[in-house]
Amino acid sequence: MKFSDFKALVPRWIFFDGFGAACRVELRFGETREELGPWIEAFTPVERTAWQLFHNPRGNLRLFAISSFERFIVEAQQYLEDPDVFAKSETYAVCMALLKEHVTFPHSGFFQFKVQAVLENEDMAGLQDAFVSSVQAT
Amino acid sequence: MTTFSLSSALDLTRVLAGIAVLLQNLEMRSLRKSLARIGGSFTDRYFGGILAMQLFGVLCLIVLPDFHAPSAAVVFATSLLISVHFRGSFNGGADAMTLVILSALCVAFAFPSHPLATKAALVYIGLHSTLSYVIAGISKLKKSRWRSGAEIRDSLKDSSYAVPATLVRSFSEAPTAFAVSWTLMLFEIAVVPALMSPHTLSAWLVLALAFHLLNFAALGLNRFLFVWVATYPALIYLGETLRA
Repeated sequence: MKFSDFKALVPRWIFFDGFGAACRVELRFGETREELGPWIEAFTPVERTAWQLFHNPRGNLRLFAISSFERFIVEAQQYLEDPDVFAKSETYAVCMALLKEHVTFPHSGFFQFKVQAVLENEDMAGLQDAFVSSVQAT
Repeated sequence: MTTFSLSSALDLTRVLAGIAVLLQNLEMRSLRKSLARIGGSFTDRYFGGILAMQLFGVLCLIVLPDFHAPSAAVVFATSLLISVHFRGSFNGGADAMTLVILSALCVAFAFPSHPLATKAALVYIGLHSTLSYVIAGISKLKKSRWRSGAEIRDSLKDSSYAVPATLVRSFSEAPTAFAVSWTLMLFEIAVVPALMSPHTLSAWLVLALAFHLLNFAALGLNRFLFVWVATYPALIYLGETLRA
């Protein structure tokens, strides 16, 4: 356990100073490394119903997935020189588990994912590729 | 607004916080297998055990007339462990406010014969609730995109929160977005003057309830509603303390 695992004990109270797409994760599949299909969104929205006011597990899991990938982008910047080390990190493993929880992976073949993020400039809201993975076996 | 006694404010906070944690627990239980795979710290068996302990603790906290101190301690400890399992937090601010309330309840129930402990606990919760609105309002006021309404007008359609199309359309006109932005920012910082009168605080609390319902409709944030409502008895108590 790390100190950051206890961050809920130290509230920040800065909510929603930006409503935009904080990050967006897409992935694509193919039978071979060279021929991958179109990019698809990993964490598609959950249809909202009144009952979800009381019970919204999939919606909250989706928000956790998005916040995990925001952390992914930040940590990926620290491993630019050593992506193999990052690929073995806990953050990478958690995010891969979240991808596999939200998207049905084929039993064989290859996949690639990318994370798009908003630029830190309040006058220019837009998504850019912040991380593009290598092509990996499913 | 009627004057809150210390014990009724504490009891109401206990029950409302219990309901909020109970709903969180039921969500976690329905995702248990997935969450055990995704989280980092505990195996499925340990995670299931923590959820079971939290459920037992929170039912005791809500229902039993006694044993509040051990019940609150169990609920606080298990809630913290669940946050640790998710490497700090599963649901951001809602987790943080849950722990604020539960830690304060632990202190209040640990010293039942000391009214000062109960007062301190309620003021602590009330101050955090106040700060949560004020800091969120000020951080928006500092941004030109919020002051101009552009954040609401342009960003909702691509939001990570999957805002329903009807709401995106409603807020897409510049004058509407401008009015909504300023209403939101002024509402958030208005909690401080609202505390100075029981009538303005009553009106502000009604607005706050509507605000959290709108947050759910727009952003799907259901947990925030129940956790923040659990702070309102303490907010009312804080107002009474400031006016005394």
